[in-house]
Amino acid sequence: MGSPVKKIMLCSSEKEIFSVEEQVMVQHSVIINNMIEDGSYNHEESKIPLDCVDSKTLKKVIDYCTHHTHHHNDNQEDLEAWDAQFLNVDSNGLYDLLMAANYLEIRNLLDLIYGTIKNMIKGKKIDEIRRIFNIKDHGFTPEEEEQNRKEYPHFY
Amino acid sequence: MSDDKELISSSAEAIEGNIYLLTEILVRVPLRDVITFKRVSKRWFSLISDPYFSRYRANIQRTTVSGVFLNPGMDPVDPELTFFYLDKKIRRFRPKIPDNSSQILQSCNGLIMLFQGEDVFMYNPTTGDNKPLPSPFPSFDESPFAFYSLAFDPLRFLGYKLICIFESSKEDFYQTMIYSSDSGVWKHCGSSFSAPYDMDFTHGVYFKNSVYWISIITKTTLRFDLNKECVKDDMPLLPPEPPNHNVAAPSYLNSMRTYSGLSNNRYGYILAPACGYMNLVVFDCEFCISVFRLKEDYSSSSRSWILMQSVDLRRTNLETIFHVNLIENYSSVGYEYSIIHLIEDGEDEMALLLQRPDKVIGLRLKDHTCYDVFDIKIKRNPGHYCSFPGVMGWYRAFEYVESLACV
Repeated sequence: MGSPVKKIMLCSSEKEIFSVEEQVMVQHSVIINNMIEDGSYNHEESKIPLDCVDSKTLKKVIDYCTHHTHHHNDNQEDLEAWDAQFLNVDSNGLYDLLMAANYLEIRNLLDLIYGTIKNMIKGKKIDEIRRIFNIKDHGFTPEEEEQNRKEYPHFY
Repeated sequence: MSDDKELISSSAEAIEGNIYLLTEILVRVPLRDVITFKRVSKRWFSLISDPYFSRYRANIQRTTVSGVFLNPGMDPVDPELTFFYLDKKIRRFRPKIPDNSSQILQSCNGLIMLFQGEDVFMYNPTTGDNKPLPSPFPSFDESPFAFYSLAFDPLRFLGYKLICIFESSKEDFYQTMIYSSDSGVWKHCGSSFSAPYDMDFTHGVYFKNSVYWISIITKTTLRFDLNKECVKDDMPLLPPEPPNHNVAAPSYLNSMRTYSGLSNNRYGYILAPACGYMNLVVFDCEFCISVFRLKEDYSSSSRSWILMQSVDLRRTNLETIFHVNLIENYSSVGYEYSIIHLIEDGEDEMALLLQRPDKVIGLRLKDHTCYDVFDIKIKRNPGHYCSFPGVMGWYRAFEYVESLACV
């Protein structure tokens, strides 16, 4: 047996503590990697406070990083299927994940979420986009809006 | 989450309200959608129109050459500018082809320099935007003999630059002016320089902060260094031809060029960046094509042209090369094809674009196999041609790269 797996403590906004393999987080999160590298994390006593990430989201983030650390040799199709299943959450959950991934700088998770949102809006017409994002004030003058609708009717 | 599920409005609003997140999402959507989404709101309009947006998008989506434009040839039967994509993917978007009175002078990473009437325009075929360019002289038609090159590279600098080379009063000496879209003005740069008589300043090609020109007879290369803003003569000589590789135009070609009024044009080479290198296609206007690559040795800062591939068209399975009488009343026999460009073919491979009367085909350099690229609708009558081997109706392609760049 090798040396015991090094763990780090992450603390959610509800002050719940999650113990994770250090390697898992270091590999995925730029922020945590930096903290470990510059020595600002002390393995004996520190925990990393993540005040803007709730427990439910943090658990998902850890799931993601753990899976992608241990399964990075899986074939691409299996990984994509796992990712699709992983992102099968409601849109508030998706948004929370996006904010957490952004905060922890987890590049591949961010790309995955951006890609998912991109798929939700691509091919949509302007009126649909305005409804999806609840854009009430588009900022064009009535004349400009009328002109646009006349010039590009297929956009709306 | 499946694609058809919708965002709950509070999350959606929060994402939309965050310019950073919104940018990250919009740089990933397909081109046609980005153009549509400009009209979602004023805020989206200015976000998408920002040069930083197109620059970032180019970075994320790694846009490459997806199609080519071809100027109408000498053949009046088919006077239109032609465009085709290099693959046969079905797309919802097609670039806007400039009208027939235009002539393409240069294209670079998504922007095109157009000549129309007496004016020169910067044109973006993706957005359809165009802008007349100021002349460095009182006007474009009252200028001394001048040649323009376009440099646009969203991954290296914002905006675009134009380089104007013009003859100075001293014979075989040239001067340089540079225009930047940021400043909107022309300025003189560097001192005058000499160049061989056959230096082809008309067909400058931009690659990694330099514009390159070559002279095929005297075998030299000059480059304009955009960082130092001056012309540099630090390039290796062009490679010599293999024994049966007669670039310097066989005599019957010379007489045909004279005959067809093309004596000043030399089409025996194509400079083309591909796969991260500058490449040079040299062909002898008969059967032999060689592709060289410019390799730089950074430790000794020396450069050299390395032979990558040689193709003898007679040894490929192209059933495209048939004998024709080139020009009526002209007895020479030639081969009806022309080489129009060098393109990337997958990750690290290259292919030559060849035209024959009925179609454009790709010839893969790695294994000399061919594939169809584009069917030419008008079946040309070879008798209408004013062409010779290597130069048919089309002879030089202008790359199309999708881009949202401002003109």
